[in-house]
Amino acid sequence: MPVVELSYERLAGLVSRGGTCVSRDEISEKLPYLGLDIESDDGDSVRIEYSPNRPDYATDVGVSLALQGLLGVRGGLVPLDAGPAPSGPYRIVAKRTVAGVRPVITGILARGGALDDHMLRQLVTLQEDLHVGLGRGRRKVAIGLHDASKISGGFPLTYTAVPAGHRFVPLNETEEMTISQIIKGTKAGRAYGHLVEGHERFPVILDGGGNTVSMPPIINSAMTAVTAGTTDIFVDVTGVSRHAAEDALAIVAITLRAAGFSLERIGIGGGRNRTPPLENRTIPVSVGRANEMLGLGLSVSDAASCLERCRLQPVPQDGRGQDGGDGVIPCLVPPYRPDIVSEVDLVEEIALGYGTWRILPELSPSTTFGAKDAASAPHDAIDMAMLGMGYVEALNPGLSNARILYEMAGRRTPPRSRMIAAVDSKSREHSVLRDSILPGLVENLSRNIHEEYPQKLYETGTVFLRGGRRAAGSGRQPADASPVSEMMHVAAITAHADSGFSEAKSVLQTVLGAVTSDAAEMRTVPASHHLFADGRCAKVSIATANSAGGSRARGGRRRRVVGYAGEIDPAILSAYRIRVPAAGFEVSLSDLQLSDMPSTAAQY
Amino acid sequence: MPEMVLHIIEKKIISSLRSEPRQSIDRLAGSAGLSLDQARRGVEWLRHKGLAEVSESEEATISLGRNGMRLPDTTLPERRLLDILLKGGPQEISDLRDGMGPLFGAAMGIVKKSGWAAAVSAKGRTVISAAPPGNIPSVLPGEATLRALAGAGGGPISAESVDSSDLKSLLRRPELVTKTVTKTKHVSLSEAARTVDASYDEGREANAGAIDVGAGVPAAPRGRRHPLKEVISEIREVFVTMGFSEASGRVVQPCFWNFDALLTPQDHPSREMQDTFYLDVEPGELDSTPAHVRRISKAHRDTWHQKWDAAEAERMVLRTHTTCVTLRRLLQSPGVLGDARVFSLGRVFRNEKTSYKHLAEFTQVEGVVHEAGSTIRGLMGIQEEFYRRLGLTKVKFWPTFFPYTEPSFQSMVYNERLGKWVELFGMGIFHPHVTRGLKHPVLAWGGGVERIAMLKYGVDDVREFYANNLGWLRGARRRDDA
Repeated sequence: MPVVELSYERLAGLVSRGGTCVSRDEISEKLPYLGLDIESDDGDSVRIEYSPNRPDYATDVGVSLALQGLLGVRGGLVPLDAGPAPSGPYRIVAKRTVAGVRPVITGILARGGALDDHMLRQLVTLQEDLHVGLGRGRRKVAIGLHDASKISGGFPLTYTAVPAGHRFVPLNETEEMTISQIIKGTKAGRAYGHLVEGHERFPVILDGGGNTVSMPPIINSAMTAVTAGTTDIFVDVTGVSRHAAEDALAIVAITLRAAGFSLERIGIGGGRNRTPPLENRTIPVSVGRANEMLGLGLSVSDAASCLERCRLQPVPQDGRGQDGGDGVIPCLVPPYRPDIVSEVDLVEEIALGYGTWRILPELSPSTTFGAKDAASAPHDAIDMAMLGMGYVEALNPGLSNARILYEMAGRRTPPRSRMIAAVDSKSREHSVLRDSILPGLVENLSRNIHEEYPQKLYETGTVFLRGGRRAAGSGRQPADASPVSEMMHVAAITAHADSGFSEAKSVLQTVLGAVTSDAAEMRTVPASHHLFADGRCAKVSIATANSAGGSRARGGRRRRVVGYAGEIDPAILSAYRIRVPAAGFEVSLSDLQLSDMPSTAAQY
Repeated sequence: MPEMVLHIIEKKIISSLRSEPRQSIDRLAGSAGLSLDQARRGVEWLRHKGLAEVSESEEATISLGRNGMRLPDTTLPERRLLDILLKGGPQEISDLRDGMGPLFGAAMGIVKKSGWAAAVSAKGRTVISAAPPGNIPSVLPGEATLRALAGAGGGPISAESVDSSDLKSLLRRPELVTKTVTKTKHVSLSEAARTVDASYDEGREANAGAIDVGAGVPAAPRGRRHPLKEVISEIREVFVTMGFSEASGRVVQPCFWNFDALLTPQDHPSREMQDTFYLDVEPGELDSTPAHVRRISKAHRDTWHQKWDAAEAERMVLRTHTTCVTLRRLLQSPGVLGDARVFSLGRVFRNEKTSYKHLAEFTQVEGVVHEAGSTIRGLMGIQEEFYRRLGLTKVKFWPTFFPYTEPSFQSMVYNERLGKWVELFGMGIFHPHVTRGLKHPVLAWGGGVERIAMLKYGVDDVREFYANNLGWLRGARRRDDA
């Protein structure tokens, strides 16, 4: 989540109005109740984390508007007061050439302000936040800020697309460059060039004299660079979604307005573009619904004042109360609050305006009966057995890696199509879903060679197989369409000077005895397995009454292979620098068909 | 000096040390006729009484490494190459490669670098010839050490027994030779032990001698549940006693249930690969009713003003939350319109770099309430009670933002040890689009179990829970101030 650093002194100055002076303590106490998390606070400045749905909190002026409301200094709507679209030259005309590349443009003029260093930095932060969030990495929306007085060729502006040979001096450069050079040779070009790649012509904004103002969404021209001291700002917003572009424009506009600029509309046309209406929307909220959801007993006028404290505005209903008598408040929502879409959003605003600290918990007794997942019963039995035998429970990630699962486990690393790999993992440690638990336990031993022996570890958990049809915890899962099946396994390992196959088998026997009936008759037959030493490894099978695909055994029962047991291959131990022998087992609980137990919990 | 009561084990150790003053514990056990464990205990007792001193010395040993063991005849590849060239004269590179297999590359690199052989290319053929024998040392670097190791069956042998620069040349190469430093404890008697009476009568004292009951003993190994699992069980218990039923479900989910059904826009940053683990597998099915899919598709178009793509919803991800499990339980259970209190506990995944406060895979708990008269105040009440039962008593609530609850809050719990408010579970009422079709609004809350476990066990690095560090697992204790 984005973070911004605010100065208490500036905030206090911005919030205080007329006779009302607001203290630091009041501010720091109320910030969290606006939904702003305090990351750190040194008494002079405070670093706050704000939610991605409120980019208007990226600046101190934005936060101060909300604080004024919550502290009761000033409530209701903050008017944008954007003058009507003037006739005359203040126009942007979009040409048909941009339609296939980046069709949407909107913009506004902000005049008569005084930009200082501090405000300039905050504006850039706001711009970047909007680019990342609403703008989806500038693809959907990109914002340009320009010093309007430096647009040498003046208005009207043209939004058009030009060939790659078009030249201008981009921001932070001193020489003219062609568009191709900018895309290849500047930092912004390399970062955002992919957004316009594959087109023969590139979108630019030209001024009345044909000078380049901007090359959205990549870079502005050096000519119109905004600096501390800029008094008139031209904001352009381009993109592929008119909704998103106008939302972003409104957020920049309210911020400039709150920073002391006055707004002037620009006439926009061409393509499907329009002059931004920047209009308030009216969304109705039922006070009854709000009370139902929140558990409060607010009157209509209480609810209306809660909304005002969130800088929203119940529409005046001449003489009939704010609800016009029907318990529903039509509420004006300014264009810079695109996060408010429907009634429930206004219910949240009412809660915020009421003051979360005033909403007191109340306990309604349960009328339902609780139950654990039925699949947890065999787990408890296994835990009891393993703990009773002195084992320590381990927990390894299900998203493991090829080194542990293959390379170090004596197994050839298969092609990606045979394992279940995560795409573009940020850490190699977490990149392949495990298909067994034991390799992880062997790795765990290697991290504990300095700890006292004997070392006995066990783990129950989910493993993943390609192309299966089952979810962990039950062998009775209905077939479904997932390309990955999830099975519940238990594995254990014992490491000390005298460990060996017999110990592993004896522990396994006890564990299976704890969760299956006598009839299960565990059997071990010689087998070969990458983890285990040749001649010291067995396939483990049990007899089941109703399994499909197992081999037929005496008494009409079928045998089903449920896992392996054995002594860990000394070559694997030596590669891990483990100096004592180790033995272990792994069996699939899903294959044990433990689901004869009563099941109340559905599995998804 | 007051008379000191000595156990027969101690007496045996003293006697043995009087005849051989400095011994390792292993040796001492043998010479005193004790088991290793008895010897260790006896030494500890004596040390406690000031009668024995223990000093530690280090010894480095070397053995053949993984690659060393694979060398044919334990011979360096460059030696084999030189032997071939010196005996058979210059040879073509492809023949050499065929003859020596994968070891050829390493061998060639070394002989070229050392000037023991040279390659000449002409007409597309490369011929390797050895330098004059006088330019090749009769014993190559590393050979002496390797021979010593081969003679000792691959080791371990003392690192002191070989030439150190010769050894160094081998240690530089990957896993040819491994070096291990072991610490050995040596026991000797202290000054005070000189006058002690260590005579004993084996027959009389063996079972009857007084022992030092105050002396330390080794820890008895015990089984131990994983501390995180203990907290998970405790949370499960609290939920059940508060009338909740557990739902469990798949870890691998189609995007539809992880994102679309929760109205996360299809171009939302959290759906991108840098935040979510997509799996390299074929797409799954949406696994829902056509009516539900239509409703969700429409909600996406109406809310986000963009087309909804079913193919995008079929991609498989590692779930980023357990809401996909609780929500499916509510929407797909037979008693769907009845009242329900449901919870789920399970692993969730985020494509994040791990750090002391973030994991790529962690355990999430989530509870939902679907019953008449549910309110935010009621939700706060359930939270407060939930935390109280876990021993967390100072709780407050702050507003926050979550993409699929409205309104949304987070609970803050005061921790005495850290002296600050700690953010725990997020909560809210599911957005009506998410639960359309159900009878009541649905309360939901949840968060990472590790956060609670960190408070309970005084852990400051969340990675500890999945590090499987035995020392910690065996000794972790709960704190009273959590």
